[in-house]
Amino acid sequence: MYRKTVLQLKGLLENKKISSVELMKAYLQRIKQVDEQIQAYITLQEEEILLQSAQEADQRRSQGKAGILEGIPMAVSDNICTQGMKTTGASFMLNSFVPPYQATVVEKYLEEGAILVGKLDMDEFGIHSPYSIAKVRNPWNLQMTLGSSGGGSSAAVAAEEIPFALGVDGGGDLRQPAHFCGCFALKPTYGRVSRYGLISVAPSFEQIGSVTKTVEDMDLLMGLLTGKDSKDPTTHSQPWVPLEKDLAISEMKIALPHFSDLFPCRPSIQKHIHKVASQLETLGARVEEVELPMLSYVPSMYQILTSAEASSNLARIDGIRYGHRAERYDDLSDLYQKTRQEGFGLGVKEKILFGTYVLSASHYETYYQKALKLRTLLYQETNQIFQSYHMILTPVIPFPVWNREEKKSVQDYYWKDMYTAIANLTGFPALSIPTRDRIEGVPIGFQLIGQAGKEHQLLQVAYTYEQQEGISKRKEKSW
Amino acid sequence: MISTKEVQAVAKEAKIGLTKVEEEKIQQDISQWLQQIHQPLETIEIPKEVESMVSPCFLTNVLRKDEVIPFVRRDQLLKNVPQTQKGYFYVPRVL
Amino acid sequence: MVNQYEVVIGLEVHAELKTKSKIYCSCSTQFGGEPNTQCCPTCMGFPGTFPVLNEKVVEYALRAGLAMNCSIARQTKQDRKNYFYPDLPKGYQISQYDIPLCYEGYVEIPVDEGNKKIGIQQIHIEEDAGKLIHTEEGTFIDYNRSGVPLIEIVSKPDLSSPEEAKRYLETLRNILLYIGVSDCKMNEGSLRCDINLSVRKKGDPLYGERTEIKNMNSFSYALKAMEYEASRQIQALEKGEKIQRETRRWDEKNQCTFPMRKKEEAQDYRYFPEPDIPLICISKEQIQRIQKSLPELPHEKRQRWITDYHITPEEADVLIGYQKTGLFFEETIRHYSNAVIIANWILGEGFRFLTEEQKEQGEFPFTPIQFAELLQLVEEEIISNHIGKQVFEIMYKTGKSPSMIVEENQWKQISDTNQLQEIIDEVLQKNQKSVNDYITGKKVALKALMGQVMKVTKGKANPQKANKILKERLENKKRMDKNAKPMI
Repeated sequence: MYRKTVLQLKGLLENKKISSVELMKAYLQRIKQVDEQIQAYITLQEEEILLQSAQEADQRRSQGKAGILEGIPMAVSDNICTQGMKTTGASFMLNSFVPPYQATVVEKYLEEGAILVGKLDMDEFGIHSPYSIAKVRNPWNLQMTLGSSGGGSSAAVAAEEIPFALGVDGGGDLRQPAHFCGCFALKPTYGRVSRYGLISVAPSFEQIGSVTKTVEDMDLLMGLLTGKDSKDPTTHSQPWVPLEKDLAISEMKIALPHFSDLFPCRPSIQKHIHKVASQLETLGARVEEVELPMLSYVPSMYQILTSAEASSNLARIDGIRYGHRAERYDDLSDLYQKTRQEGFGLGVKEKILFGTYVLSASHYETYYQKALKLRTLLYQETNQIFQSYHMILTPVIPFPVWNREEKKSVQDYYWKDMYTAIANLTGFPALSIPTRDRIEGVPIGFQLIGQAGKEHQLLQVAYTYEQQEGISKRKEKSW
Repeated sequence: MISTKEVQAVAKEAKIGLTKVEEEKIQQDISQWLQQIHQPLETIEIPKEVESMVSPCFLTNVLRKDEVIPFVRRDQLLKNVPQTQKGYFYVPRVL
Repeated sequence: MVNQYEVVIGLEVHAELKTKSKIYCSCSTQFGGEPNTQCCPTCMGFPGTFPVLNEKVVEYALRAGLAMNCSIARQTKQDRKNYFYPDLPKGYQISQYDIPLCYEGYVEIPVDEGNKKIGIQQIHIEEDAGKLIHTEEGTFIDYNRSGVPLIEIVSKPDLSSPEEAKRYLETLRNILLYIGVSDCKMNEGSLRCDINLSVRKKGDPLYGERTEIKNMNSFSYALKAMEYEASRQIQALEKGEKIQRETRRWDEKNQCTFPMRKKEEAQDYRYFPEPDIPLICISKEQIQRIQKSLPELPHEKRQRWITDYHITPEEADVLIGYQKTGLFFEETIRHYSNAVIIANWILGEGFRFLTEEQKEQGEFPFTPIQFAELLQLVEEEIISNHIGKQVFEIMYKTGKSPSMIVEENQWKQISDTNQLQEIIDEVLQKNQKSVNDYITGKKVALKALMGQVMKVTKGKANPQKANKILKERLENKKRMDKNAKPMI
């Protein structure tokens, strides 16, 4: 049962082929079976409560009051606030923090009858660094990396411990693990989904997206999250355009940025993308190479701006109103320093210090201000491409999957997010799509970046690709 | 390049205590980062009229009405930290 | 020595805007609530919360800017001012850095030679911090005030004396009160100022090093602090010492300023644009609408009162300062035309009975119409001025109408000539000694006899008339007495 997609489960529940209680039991069983090795869950709701909720879902259904996701289990990344349930951001700082408020995205799904099963593992505060590797494993190959900070969402879906999951994408955190897990992940247009309740670290970059097994699931789930929220002033009211399954993609023009020597995109990845390009052309789309010179500046502006925002956003974590607080200190200054020393991991500390550095008076113009202008130039260039093309095809990561123990070079860390960060810098939506190919037993995918508000076009191409390649029907499972 | 002294100064600004080992690691890492970003930042010529893009949000005037809506679970706001007294939060005396 | 120097003062005034809810969340802004009962995750800096700007804050800030002749930024943003302090829950204050909402304005303050223009560099919007209570055991934090909206009004260093600075503060306060954006209660902290003061030798084109005196919350303390600091700096310079740029506080007990703990370098706030708040655009229509809606400003009103109503500048200042009493004054004029008399009564008898709070609120326990009635009764000599004061006191205590009070007490003035003559004749009969005193030239006897007349009539005799008649009678008696003396 846990192998099913959200839509399939919805169908089974609606046709009374299964009950919510049976479904919940199946997932609980599955989690017990695999999570000791996968370690996707940081917090799991108590079994009694989950079964109780499932029972209530069945009751509502029998009364004809079923919501769109009635009885469907869901899990969210642990940097999304869940009222009454511990939300830690995978940090020792917040290891006993229980928010008295609910993230809007969670509220929306709960209103439709979904049942929150637990919180998923991730890198501390969504900051991926060699010092803060989350416990969660890649179900396809336990030795291999998940690539970025939002690993738990993808691992849980890939290992089928949950039919779908929500996570935060600030630069590829959701899309990169998804493509290494053979799942779909969407970072929506900036402002489409409310960030209220998201433990924000890089506010002008982050969006909440979902990880799913199929494009149709994505369509349903993201449609439900769309909407202006009075609690997040950056949300807009552009409606979600649903997927049209019968629409051909022959009108689609796709741009493929030229692989320059300026950045280290491995030949194997280049080859893979060219293969995908010809697959898409076979399906009717037109793929053309374009120049995107600003691409080589993406890592620098991403590094500078996310660090700057993080240094400011994490300043509120000081132990005075919530979270970890040092027990021994001499005075107020010492209280701050010890609390934050004890509470943050080295990766987070580093990010904050770099951010503080680039914002300081003597460096502001050189780094931060310059990065803001580079961002404009990237936006203008990408927007220019969208005058002639519907979307942009890129790799998800410029190099293949690696061993989680492997110490990647500073160079590689620097370039890793170059393709995914485009979408966060510019606000355009981006979808990570799995393919049938494997490296070291781990899936590899590709990314499509779309025009603002036009997620449906991305889903259109993805759906056509998915059907053609039989992505969802494949027999081999990760676990 | 960033010196150890600069790391210490920045750590003080950010109110984060560091061990010697952490200081060293951070000094090395940030120096490498600076080296990485130095080259692209130096080589690009940005025309004066290019504006700053702070966020991909293009909305303007997102305002709310002036009305009082008390937060319902107020009692829970003080529960996330043990150091409260008579309804106040508490820190050592600010010099 | 002191005359060789001139003082240069700039003030940064923070005024709490009297919106119902906070600037970025819907918590109440009311003063005096139980600690941490008027807050929410947003104004307490919990993770996952976002600021949503209150529309009234923008409107009130624009009102203040336009009332102070500022230019308005058509497009502006908010910025983060980053620093750590327990009363600052997010670890940064959302403020405005380089594009303030209002800029390049001025206000006029009265000086000896007329009026002086004081430049306003900018007015920007920002949020207030929580409140800290320092005790021996530690510092306690109340976040009720965190997120209360503020405007910061930064003056140019155009103030040349502590006295001018005080007048500037009063002018600012009156304007903010009159346009209804702040209740300006310094004792509640809704109006605070930081003082930047330096001195230089007269004629010196360069500014001297300045010190900052922070968080003054009383006009009189501010005045004392400025006077002390100016004098301190002059003395130091005379001794050849250098002025340190530092932050100081006023010590009311010891009547001096003292330096706060010095920081090694100037604080770097790492300002950067606030990504969570979308741009704010102000339209021409909005500016015009608000401009039109501004009421008569205090200095305009003050001038009009002096010119049209002929009250003195000092009287005008007081009535302007107590805005609501001023409204009571104006309302009374609609029913009784002699403004000078109204002003005298309000500032004299009225203020004798009213508490400070009542003066601020214009809380007279009777209406302007009733007040006008009283003044009318006195003018028509139906009651004497003296009785009028007694009636006023009863009006104050009971709120009854003056006519009713006069009726109940039978205080109508006795003005009828015949009646008065009768009474006076009786008095003269009973007070032969005083009569004789008068005849022998003791003028003071007249007073004594008037006193008797008043006593007998219980103060109701029309003083002028009674005096006239009494004098006539006495003069008659004098003449008669003279005539009666035998001619030898």
